[in-house]
Amino acid sequence: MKEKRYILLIFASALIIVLIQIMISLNTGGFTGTDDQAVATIQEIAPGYEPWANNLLEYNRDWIETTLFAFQAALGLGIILFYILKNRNKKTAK
Amino acid sequence: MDKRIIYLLVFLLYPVIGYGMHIAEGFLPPEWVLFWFLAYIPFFYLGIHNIKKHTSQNTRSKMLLAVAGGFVFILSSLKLPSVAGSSSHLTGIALGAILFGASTMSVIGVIALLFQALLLAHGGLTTLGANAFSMTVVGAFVAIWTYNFASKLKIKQWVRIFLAAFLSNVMIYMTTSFQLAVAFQSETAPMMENLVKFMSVFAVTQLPLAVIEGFFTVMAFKLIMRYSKADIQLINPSFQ
Repeated sequence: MKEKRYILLIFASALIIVLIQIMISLNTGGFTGTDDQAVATIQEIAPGYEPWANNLLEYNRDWIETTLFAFQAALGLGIILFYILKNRNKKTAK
Repeated sequence: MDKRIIYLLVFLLYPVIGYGMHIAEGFLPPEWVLFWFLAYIPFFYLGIHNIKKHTSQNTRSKMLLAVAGGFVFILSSLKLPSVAGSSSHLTGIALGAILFGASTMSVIGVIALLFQALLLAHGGLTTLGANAFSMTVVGAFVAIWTYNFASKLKIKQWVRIFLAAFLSNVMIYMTTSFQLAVAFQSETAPMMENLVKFMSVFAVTQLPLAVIEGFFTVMAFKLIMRYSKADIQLINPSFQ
């Protein structure tokens, strides 16, 4: 029974993260990533350079990317929550 | 709920659009792509060997390896806004490097990089070798060297970990700047001038984030020490 509660907890926190990330992504957008700035610097010092490969998946909507980033965070958070709860259980069982 | 989880959640609520730090797909000439892949592969091999050793000695280290990996996943998805209107992200490499040894992270860290390169259009497959080298090799070795050096100076443990994570993050962006500066040097754009240009792109953004990375790593380390002290001491006897 307890297992179910953990899964629910992980799922719920993941969902909250996703939702809030999407909300933020819709309302902000004023920050440029340093990798984009680096690309700009490359174009400045080597104007003739053409990138010779493209990302396999490119999204034209910001929220897809944000959701996937949140999914990545949720995966990591899930593992760590699982670890915390498992060990907490062990401690209280003793 | 654990207070730490709440802190973590609060920070997770802050990400914004924009990525950071890694070299974008296609933005490294082919010869350098090859060079950095070749430089990275021996460490990957060492890492596999190291992980096999850890897991065969103590099966519970699998859980801790997963935690180290999860930590990298969370931190490298945290795109934080920083000064001067730019954003970048953390890496989380130091924690695993201190616990399991630097080469272990060459394997664990690259999982997060692959995930981002394949699904998130962040970083890239052609630049994977270079990004893996800067993040999982340089980042991990700097972390462990800093930690060991600070141990010799008898600095408090949490300060050691903070310094290790901080310097690891700083050195990762320095390596990225260096990789770009070397690859794009020409007569009109000498290496050193490029280096200054690329470093100034990353430095302002990355320094405050490196401080945050330091605090996160200390937090995660304390958590692991509380629950798995015995296992950690089996893996690495130097931990008190």
